[in-house]
Amino acid sequence: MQLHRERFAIRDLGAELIMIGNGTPNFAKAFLEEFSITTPIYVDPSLASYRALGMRRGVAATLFSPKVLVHGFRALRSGFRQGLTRGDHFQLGGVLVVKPDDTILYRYLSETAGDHPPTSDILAALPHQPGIEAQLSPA
Amino acid sequence: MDRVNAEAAEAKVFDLEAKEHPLRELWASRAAVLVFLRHFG
Repeated sequence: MQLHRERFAIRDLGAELIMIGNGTPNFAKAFLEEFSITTPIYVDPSLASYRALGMRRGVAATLFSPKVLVHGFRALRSGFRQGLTRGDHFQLGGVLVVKPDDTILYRYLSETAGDHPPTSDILAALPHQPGIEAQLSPA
Repeated sequence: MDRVNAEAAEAKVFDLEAKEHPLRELWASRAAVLVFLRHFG
């Protein structure tokens, strides 16, 4: 998981990477072990948070869109193999960057399976950008 | 800038010990990058 590799950079930029899945805590534990995840991880089996944030769900978007074929081919070419699916097959995900005052700094809602935002876009949205402190420091 | 709506902020998520937390707890003390996964595995 590319974002997981950037977890220290994310922390340096003033945020914490947190994963949320749509299965049970046991699924999350298995995922954590299988992919050596070290960031906090939570689950929402009811999908209430996904729905409230506008994340998409649907058969066509997860199985039949042309983007799915392209993303799937690219993933296979880079060595990824889909294992046993744990959780709702048709729920899509996304990324949200939120500040303590509830302000959304960045939002990305996946439109199809395999649709992920560029990591650089997420990093650019984080609060502590390099050089900010130098600009704000008194002369 | 947009803010997280109340319904989402109060949605319940569970940690690995099956303890319940309101979603807003995840960004209460510092900014959070929340990655909502499609499914596990």
